[in-house]
Amino acid sequence: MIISSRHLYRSALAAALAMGLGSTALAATDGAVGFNSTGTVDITLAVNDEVRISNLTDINLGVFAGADAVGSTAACVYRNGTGAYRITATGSGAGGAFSLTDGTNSVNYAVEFDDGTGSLAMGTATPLIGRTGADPASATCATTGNNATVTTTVAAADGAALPAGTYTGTLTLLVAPE
Amino acid sequence: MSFNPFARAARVVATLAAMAFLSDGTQAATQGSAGPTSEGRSEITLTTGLSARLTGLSDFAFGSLDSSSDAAADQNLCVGRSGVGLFANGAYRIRASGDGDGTDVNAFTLSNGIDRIAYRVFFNDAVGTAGRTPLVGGVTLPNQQGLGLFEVFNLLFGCVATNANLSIEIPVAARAGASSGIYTGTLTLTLIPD
Repeated sequence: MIISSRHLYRSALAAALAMGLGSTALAATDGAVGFNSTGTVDITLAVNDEVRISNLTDINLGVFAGADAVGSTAACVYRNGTGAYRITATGSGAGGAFSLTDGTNSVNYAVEFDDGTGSLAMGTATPLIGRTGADPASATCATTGNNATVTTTVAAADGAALPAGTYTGTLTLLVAPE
Repeated sequence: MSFNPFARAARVVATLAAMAFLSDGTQAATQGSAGPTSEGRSEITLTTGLSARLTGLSDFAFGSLDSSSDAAADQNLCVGRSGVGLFANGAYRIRASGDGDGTDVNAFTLSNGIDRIAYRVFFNDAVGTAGRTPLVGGVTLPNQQGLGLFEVFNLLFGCVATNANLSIEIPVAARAGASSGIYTGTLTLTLIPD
């Protein structure tokens, strides 16, 4: 290691300034001279509330056969710590409506969310609050496994009125900590 | 005031040499003889052990982190010791201990009062992190080396020439599941000259 005398000057100056001007805002302590010398360093880290929704799969409602078309996907919800969470669903229809379209025609569908305590109907862009059962330790739900279910339903009456075609849409789920 | 480190070092060497010369006597105490006057002598000896001084430490403040990446930070610091030639390598050991956990009182951990987050600690006997060695809480890392010139200066004058590095890492995995809050901890470093 090569340290120039200029560096030594700067270091000495910095040390002098630190001794003279330092207002003890720092908690780190240098060691004193002795047979051993012990110093301490304080470490701080801020951890925010964190959530994650994952393990979602696409839902294929199949070919409409005159009955309600029902499909679902499992979900993994992670939430650090032990708090609850809220979830908000938004569809790809106008104004976030839960609807599927073939480009010309559209059909609405219903959404339900179950965190393990029972299914609840969701309204578009309206959060379901106080959800529980999230994995508190693993962002991939290695602890709990999948812990929620999202179910979509196109009612038989709505499906029966549709022209033939393939209807698609996107359901966006937003999880937030409480 | 101009500061000439080499002239200062020369004076230090001269002083040490003089001390070595003066303390080289192997005389034993002599007792006085009976007479009108009597003179006895007593040899006085002072033995000094190695001295060490660890300076240049500062806190690590990580703030709020992106949960998708490991957190890492390092700082150069100053190791000082006596008993080494200015152009020789002075060996020393370093030991670090953290706040502990339920099974290891020296474990490197941060806490928010509810949960703990483990972190890793590394020490390097040179500035920068290249070639650093991971530390285990409470376990002494031997065979660290530093140039005597800098070690002596750091002993005498504080953190004059950084010659070591302390680095820590907080892996994403260690933070998984930890409840929100401010996590704090104290890392204690002990320098032991060889």
